[in-house]
Amino acid sequence: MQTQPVQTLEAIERIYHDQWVLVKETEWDKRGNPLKGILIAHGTERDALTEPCIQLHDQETDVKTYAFFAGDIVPEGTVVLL
Amino acid sequence: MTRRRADRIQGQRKRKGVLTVPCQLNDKYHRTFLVDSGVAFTVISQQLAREMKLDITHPLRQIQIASAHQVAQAPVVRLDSLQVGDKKVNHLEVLIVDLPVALRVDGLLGVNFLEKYRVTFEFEQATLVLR
Repeated sequence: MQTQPVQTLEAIERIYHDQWVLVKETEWDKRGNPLKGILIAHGTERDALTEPCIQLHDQETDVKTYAFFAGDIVPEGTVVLL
Repeated sequence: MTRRRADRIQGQRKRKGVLTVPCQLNDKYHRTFLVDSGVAFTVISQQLAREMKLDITHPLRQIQIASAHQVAQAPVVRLDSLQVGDKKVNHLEVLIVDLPVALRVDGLLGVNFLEKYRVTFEFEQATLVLR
């Protein structure tokens, strides 16, 4: 697998817009919020992140990951009613 | 009287909709949760439960959930910790539920977390205040 560079979360959001992304965190602010990381997986379905996440945490027990949707959390025209 | 320090958590909110905030589970998993004071238990998605290797086959118990759309059983498991901003709750029980695909979050931050704090919503600033 090709090693990805360390990128800011903003850059990852820009490149993988409207996709789910899994990031291995490499840099944090003073409150512990992730600022930069290495892209591990991405895809339009949430399921695309699950196996890569399990594998990464198996390989590196102290790793921290950030998984998020790089776009609107609720699609335009959708109203949440849980 | 003791005044607890307020922690202001910057979240996201689009088109005057729901408020989401970043959360950290078991000190390793940063994920986005929807803040939902209408749900008694904090909820995590099936995918996140698998990623964290939570033991769904031997939950603490099954609990009946009644939502606007369904009545169903869901497993209850215990996290080591759930942290929002600098506020951390240890040994929090959570429900594991299949969340709607159109809702791009990994969980719902429910009352069993929020009740530990005085909670203020600042919707215009997309901010959750915990004190």
